[in-house]
Amino acid sequence: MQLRSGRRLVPSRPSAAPQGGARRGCPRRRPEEGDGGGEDRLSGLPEELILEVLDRLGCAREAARTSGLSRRWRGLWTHLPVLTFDGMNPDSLGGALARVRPERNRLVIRIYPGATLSAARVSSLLNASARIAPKELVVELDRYSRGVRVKLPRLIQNLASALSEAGKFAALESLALVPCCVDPSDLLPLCPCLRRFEAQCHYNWTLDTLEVHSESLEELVLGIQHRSSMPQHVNIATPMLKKFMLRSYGFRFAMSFLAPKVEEFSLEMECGLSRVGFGEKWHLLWLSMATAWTNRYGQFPRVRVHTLSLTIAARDRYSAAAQSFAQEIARLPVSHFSVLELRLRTEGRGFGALFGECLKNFDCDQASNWRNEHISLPNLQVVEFEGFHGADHEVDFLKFLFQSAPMLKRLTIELSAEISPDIQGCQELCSILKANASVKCYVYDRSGQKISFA
Amino acid sequence: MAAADSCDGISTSGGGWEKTVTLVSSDDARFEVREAAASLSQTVRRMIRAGGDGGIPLPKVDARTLSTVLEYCNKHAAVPAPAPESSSAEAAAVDLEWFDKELMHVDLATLCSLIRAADYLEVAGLLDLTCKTVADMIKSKTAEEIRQMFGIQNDFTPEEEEQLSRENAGVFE
Repeated sequence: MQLRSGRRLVPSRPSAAPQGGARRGCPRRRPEEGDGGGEDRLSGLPEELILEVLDRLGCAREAARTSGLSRRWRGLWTHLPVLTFDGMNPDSLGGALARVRPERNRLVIRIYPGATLSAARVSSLLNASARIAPKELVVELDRYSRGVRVKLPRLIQNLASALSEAGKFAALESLALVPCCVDPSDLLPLCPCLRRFEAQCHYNWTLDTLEVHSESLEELVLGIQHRSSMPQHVNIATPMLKKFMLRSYGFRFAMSFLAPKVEEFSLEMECGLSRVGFGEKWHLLWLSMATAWTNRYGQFPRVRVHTLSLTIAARDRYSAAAQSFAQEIARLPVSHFSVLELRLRTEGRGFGALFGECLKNFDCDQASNWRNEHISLPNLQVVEFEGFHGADHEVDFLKFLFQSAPMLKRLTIELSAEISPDIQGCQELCSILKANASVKCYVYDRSGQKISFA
Repeated sequence: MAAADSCDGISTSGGGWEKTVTLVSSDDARFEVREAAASLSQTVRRMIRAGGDGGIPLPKVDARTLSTVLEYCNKHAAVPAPAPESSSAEAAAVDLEWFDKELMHVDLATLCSLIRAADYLEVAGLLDLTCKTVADMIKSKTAEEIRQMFGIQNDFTPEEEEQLSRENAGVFE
């Protein structure tokens, strides 16, 4: 390697360096003190290393400013594989995009409030983006910006025509529109290589039917989080889809889902207003379903587990449910799951009957009087119970559990904060656990301290 | 065992036996390093696998730079894979961050040599650290301030300067 003039440091030959690499009297100076020698070593770096530095600026505008340093630096930034234009005025942005070299990997455009966007400007921005032919494009507009609010839907409808004119999104592999105001059925056919698509529906944009049809899509993230932008139908036909995420305010749309290869889900539905419940007392607040890889019970290799979580609350004044939990779950695009997580806000009410109702979803025979009738839970192996108060119905519930689940291996109970170990319920708990010593039982207090009943 | 040839010895550290390798800098300084630390360099890792006698030659890195690179590697290789969310993992991360910050208190010439070395040796973490350090120095500074700091000569002709400022008007100020 060529040594730089006059600055060669003759190493004090380390004779034996058992640990190696120990710094040998190398004086340290703060970089801010300047180079002293006046030699421009930074510009002397190969172009790809200067680009590594510019990349760490994380901001295309900052990187572009180095163009003015010297000839060496001029236009270097336009070669950056990842370009993030953050909070730039849309007028300037057009000029900036026009300088970027085509075939970038990732292009991120964020436009914040105060920006007034005309149809022509949006269209030209998108044309400029299409010319760059990025593999990944993220367009974020401030969704509550007043200037944008009224005009945005109409403006972004120009996206599709802008795209088809440009027709250069052939390389695009990942596209995020936050918020999205463009019909995916206009957009997706223009992106034949798209693997990831994220659309957060704009609150001021409604579409009767949200269609996501793509032969190439492997990951889909949909957000339908505004009541005002709720479609009637959501139709997904994506043969290659592996990962699907949906966040929705309510679940009042009809859904068709053709994605045979899906491995991972994350569905989150806020159901507070959807009148799904059980009887007059219980109603569904939140429904979520997620896939996780777990080895929490010591299994190797890790296994994929689909967990359905229901948050159910007791209400005093609540009109009769229009739909049962089972009906609601049947509507989900995925209905096989191996873990059921129930979060009950019981307000002190007995929840045995509700539990019976929920078991329907595990193909268990449901019983109206769950205490007396026989319910079998042949596959249930692990139960976690949070917030045990020691109430009679809770104790009955545990007895029922041991009777009905012959394969039960592990039971974890977390006591509620108010409970004291010497109340009746706790003593009963103790005797139940002793009677079922074959099941591994762990009892913790609220602080996570393990409690021994021995 | 392919690695045996370039493996010079075995040393004790922290009560356990560890395999070491010898790295030879461009100016013929020899560094005996734990294999685990040296392997943070993908380039070295490949050379260990390929085998060879008398240490691994690194003709593009001088002794001074190499000693700093190895200081980085020794520290980072010593950190066990953290168990997430544990408080000791958090403490180790803070310690590492502090170490990195200290390591970057060098003059610009050294910093640039480190960037080249990290790139040649393919030590991804060190390349990121050094480039980030330079980027942080550039951030929010005017062109003139950056030129002064790094000794960059403004070699634009007045015509080019004018053209530049015309191009950038309304775009990047």
